[in-house]
Amino acid sequence: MGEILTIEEIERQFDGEWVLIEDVETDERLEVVRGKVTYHGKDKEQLHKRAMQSQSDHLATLYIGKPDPKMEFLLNF
Amino acid sequence: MKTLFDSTYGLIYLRAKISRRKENGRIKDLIINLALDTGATGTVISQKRLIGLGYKLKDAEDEMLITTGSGLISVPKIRVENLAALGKDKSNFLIIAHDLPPTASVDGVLGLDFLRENILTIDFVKGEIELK
Repeated sequence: MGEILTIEEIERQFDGEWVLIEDVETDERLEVVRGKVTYHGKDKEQLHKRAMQSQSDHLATLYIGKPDPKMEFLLNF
Repeated sequence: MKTLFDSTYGLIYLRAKISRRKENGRIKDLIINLALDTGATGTVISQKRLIGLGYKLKDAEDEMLITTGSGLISVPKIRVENLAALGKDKSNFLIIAHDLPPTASVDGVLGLDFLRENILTIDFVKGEIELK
């Protein structure tokens, strides 16, 4: 890990996982263009730990892909 | 500026950027996924993401009660230096710091407080959102 990947490569390699992307570059819509994936996996706690340790000033923490289609969301605050 | 989204899926995912100036003067920022929630009065962002950027929960300006599956809980409200989404920047913006369940594929929700004073257009046919 640490190699710069494009968003297409990230989506292809890490579908269904959380990723921590360092030195992330985005477009004007804040869509990720490329960056270094330094964590990938399903464990959000581990993602948080890695993000806390990162020295990069430009980070992204994203879930790649679509969640379970059987899952419904009720978000109210 | 129009933002594209997948209109075939239940949640409307948006990219957002939270920023904070570090002690050395450099800006640290984080890109996250939020769900657009026009039923939410407030914008919610994961406590863990905010702590990762250097925000401190003890600096909360306020707190609020929210209803969850396990009852009422108190959550802090934190003022972030900048929150950007849908082509808009909100400075010194007060957000609710709360972790959504681990199964949630987003790190928070973008609520009505971010959208007010603007015109929000959601085109489900084209899969486009515009905030003017």
